[in-house]
Amino acid sequence: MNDDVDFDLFMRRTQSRLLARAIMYCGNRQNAEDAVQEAYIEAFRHWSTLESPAAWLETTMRRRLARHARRWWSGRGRFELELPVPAAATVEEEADALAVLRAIGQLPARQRQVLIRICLEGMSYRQVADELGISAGAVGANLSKARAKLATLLELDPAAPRPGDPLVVSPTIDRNRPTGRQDPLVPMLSAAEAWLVRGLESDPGGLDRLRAAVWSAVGERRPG
Amino acid sequence: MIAALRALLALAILVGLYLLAFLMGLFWLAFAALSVEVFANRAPNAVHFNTTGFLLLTGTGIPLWLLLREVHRISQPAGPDPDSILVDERREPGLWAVVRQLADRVGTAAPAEIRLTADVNAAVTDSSRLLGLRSGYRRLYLGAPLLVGLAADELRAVLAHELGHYAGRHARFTEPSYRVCAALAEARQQIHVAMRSNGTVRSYAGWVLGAVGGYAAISNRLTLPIRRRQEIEADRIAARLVGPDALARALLAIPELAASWDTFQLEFAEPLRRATGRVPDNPYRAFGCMLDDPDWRAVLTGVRERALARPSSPGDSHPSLAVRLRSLAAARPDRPTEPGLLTEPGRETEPGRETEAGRPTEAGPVAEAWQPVGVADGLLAKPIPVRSRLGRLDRQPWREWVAALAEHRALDTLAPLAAAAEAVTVRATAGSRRGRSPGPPSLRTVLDLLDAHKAMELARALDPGRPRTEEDDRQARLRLVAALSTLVGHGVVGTGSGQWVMGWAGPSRLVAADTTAEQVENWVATAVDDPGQVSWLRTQLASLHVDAGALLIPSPPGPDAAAAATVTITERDLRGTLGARWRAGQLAPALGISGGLLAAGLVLWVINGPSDPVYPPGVRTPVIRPTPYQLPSNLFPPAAPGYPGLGGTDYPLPRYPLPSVPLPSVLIPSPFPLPSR
Repeated sequence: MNDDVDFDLFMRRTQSRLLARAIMYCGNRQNAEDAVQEAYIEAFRHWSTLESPAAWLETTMRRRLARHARRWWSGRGRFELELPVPAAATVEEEADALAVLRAIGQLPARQRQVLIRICLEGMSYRQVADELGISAGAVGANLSKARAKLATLLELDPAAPRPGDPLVVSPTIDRNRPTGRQDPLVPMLSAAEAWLVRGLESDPGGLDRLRAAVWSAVGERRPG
Repeated sequence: MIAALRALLALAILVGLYLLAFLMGLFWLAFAALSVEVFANRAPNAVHFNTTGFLLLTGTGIPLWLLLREVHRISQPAGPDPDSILVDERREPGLWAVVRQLADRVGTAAPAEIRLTADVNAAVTDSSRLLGLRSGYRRLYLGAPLLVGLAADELRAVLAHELGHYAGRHARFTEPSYRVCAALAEARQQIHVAMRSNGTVRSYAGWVLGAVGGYAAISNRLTLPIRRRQEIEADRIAARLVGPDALARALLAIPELAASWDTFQLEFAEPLRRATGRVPDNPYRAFGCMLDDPDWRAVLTGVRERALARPSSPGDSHPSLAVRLRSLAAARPDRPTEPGLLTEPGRETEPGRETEAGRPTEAGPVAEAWQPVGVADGLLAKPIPVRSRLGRLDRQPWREWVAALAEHRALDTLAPLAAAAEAVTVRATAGSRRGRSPGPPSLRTVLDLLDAHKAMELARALDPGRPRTEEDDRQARLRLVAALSTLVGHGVVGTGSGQWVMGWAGPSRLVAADTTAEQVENWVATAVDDPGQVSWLRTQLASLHVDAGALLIPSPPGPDAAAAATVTITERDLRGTLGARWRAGQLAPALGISGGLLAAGLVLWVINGPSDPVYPPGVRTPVIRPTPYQLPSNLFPPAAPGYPGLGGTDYPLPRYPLPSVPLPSVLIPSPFPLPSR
C-alpha cells in the first residue's frame, strides 16, 4: 500500500517530463505514450529495488522506443503529433518550439536518437555508442549530420555579424565550452522540451489517462 | 596615414567581392551563350537536344543570383537595429551631455542618434556612404543593463571607447569589411536553404559555395587582425580620457553583468510571467536591485576568472579580455604591467574620483554630476514579449513586481507539500470507508499528520522514489521543515503583519512584525521532531492570528479545460507547404533560368534552319553514310575490257610526267687521289 502511494506520487511528479522526452525522441504521441506506459509498468514491478528510479525509468523508456523503432511496421517513424498548448506561452515561444519540433521531425530516427541523447540527456559518445550498439565514430558522424541539418533548418548558421564596433564580442561566457561560445542548439532544444512539458501539464486529462492505463495494466486499484 | 592604408585595404576587399561576383556572373553568361549555341546546332539527324549545359547553368545560377542579390543589398546603408529604443535628447539631456563632452574631448563629432538596447554591450555604427569613404549617419548603441550595472566612470570609459572608434576613423575600415563579411555570410546561409529544397541547386552549388567560403576566409584573415588592433587603439583613447582603471573595471564587470542579466531574465522574470502574466514596468530597476544584493555578488565569484581565462578564437574581431587588460596596464605610467592588479574589484569608486595615476579625469563637471541609472527610468522593457494567449500582460510597478516575485518564489516550493499531504492523508484514510481525501489539504491537515506520528512519512513523500538511507531521511526532514516554515510564513503574510523579501541568491525570506523567520523555523523543527510539541506550535500560530484550518496549501492552479488549445504537427507539416518549398528552393528563378535558356535555344534553332555541321561541338553522333564506301575511280580506273585482270605485266599503268628543272652540274674535285683506270 505504502509503495502504491509512493509510486503514484512519483508518477505524477515525473510523467509529463518523461512523456515530453519520449515525444522528442519519436515524434509520435501514441508511440511515446506506449513507451512511457511500459516503462512505468516495468518500474512498478521493480519498485522496491530501484536505486534511482528516475534515471532507470528514462533508460527503460529509451530502450522501449528503440525497440519499437526497429519493428518493421513502424515504417519510417511516422511523425504525428497533437499537442496541448500551454496557456501562458507567448506566441513567440510557441512558434520557436514548433519550429524545433518540426526540424527534429525531419531528421532520420538514428540522428534524432543521437542528438537528443547528447544534447538533452548530456550522455557521452561512449555511453550513446554502447546503448545504441554503434561505434563512437558513428555517434559523432550522426551528431554532426544532425547538427548541420538543424543549423540550416533553424537558421543557426554562424549569423552575419552585427554592424559597427561593439565593446566586446559576446558578453556571456559558457563554462562548458572551451571557446566560451554558447552552443545555440542546446537552449533551443531545452526550451522546446520545456514548452512541451508545460503543454502536457496544462492538459491533465491526458496524464490521468496515462496513469489509469498503468494502474489497470499492473492490476492494482489506483490509490486516490 | 595608417587609417588611410587600412581604408584602402578594406576598400580593396570590398571591390574584390564585387569583382568576384561580377566575374562569376560574366563567366556564367558566357557559358550560357555557349550552351544555347550547342542546343541550337543540333545535328539534323540527332535524336536529342543537348541540355546538359542548361542543367549546370540552373544549378549554379541560383546560388550565383543569391550571392549577387546579397552583394547588392549590403551596398545600401543599414537602418537602425529594430530592437532598440531611441533616446530623445530633450528627455535625457544628461546622457547626451556626457556623450557630447566625451566626443569633444576625443576630437570627433557626436553621434546623430543614441539608442538603448537590451544587450550587455555597447556599439557604434557609421552608415557611411561611398563604400565607406565618407562618414555618414552615426548611431551609438548602449545596453540598458550597463546603465544600471556600471558606475558612472566605468560607463564614461565605455562611451569613450566607443567614441574612440569614431576618432580613429575606424568605421572606414570596419564598415566595408563588415559588408563583405555580412554579404558572404548571408549568401552562404541562403544558398544552404535553397540547397535543402532544390536538388539541382544541391548538385551544383558547391562551386559557388567554395568561392564564397574561400573569399570569406581570405577577407577574415586580412581584416580581423586589424579590427583587433583597432579595439586596442580605442581602449587606449578611453584610457587617456577616463583612466585605464575605469575601463578595465568596466571590461571585467561585463561578463558578470551578462551572467546576472541572463539569470534575471531566465530564472526570475520568465517563470513569474509564465505563472501569473506579470511583467515589471521597468525591469532594469529590478535588475539593479538584484545587483545590489550582497548575496548575489557572492554567487558571481569565479565569473571574472573564467572570463579572463577564456582565449580568443581565430574568428574573433576582438582580442581576449586578458590581452586587453594587459595593454591597458601597459598604458599606465606608474604601475607594473601585471593584469592581476587590474582585476581587484573596485566598483564602489565615486563618480568624480581622481584616477589612480594621480591626475584628475578629463571629463568635465557635467559628466560627473550625471547619474547613469536615471536614464533607464522612462524607457520600457523591449526584450520581454507582451503578446500571449492570456491576452494583455499585467504590467506592474517594478517594486510591486519584486514583492510578487518574492512571494511567488516562496510559494512555488509548496506544491510538493500539497501533493505529499494529500497522498499521505489518502493513505491514512484508505482503511476507513471514505476513500477520497477530504478537500484540499490545509495547514491543519499537515499538523494533524504530525500529531499522528506521520512526520517522516510526509517528509519522504515530498520527494518520492529516493533511496531510503539515513542521510536521505535527514535531508527529507530538512525539506519538510523548510516547506512547513514557508507555509507558516505564508499564513503570517496572510494576516498582514509580514511580507516576503526577495532573496536573489536563495529562497525568499520572511520579515514579520511579531516574529522572525528563525523563530518560525525553530517551532516547526520542534514539532516535526516531537509530536508532543505540535500543540505548542498551534498555540504560537493562534497568537499570530494564523487560522490553520483556513490556510490552504497553495499549489499551482489547475488549468481550465476550456482554455486548452491544441496544435497538430503532421508529416505534411514537416515537408512544409508547397508554397514554402517553392520559395525556399528558389523554384521560380530556377524555372525561369532553365525555361529562358530553352526558349532561346529553340528560337535560335528555328531561325538557323536545318544545318549540317559535320562535327557539331560537343555532340558525339556517329556519321552515318547513306551508301557503302567506293574506291575513288580516278586512282584505280576499272580494268579495260580486253585484259584478263590486274597483275599482268603489260597492264598500262598511268603515267604522270613530272616537270624536270635543268640544273647546272658542278664538278667537285675529290680531296683524295683517285685510282687511275
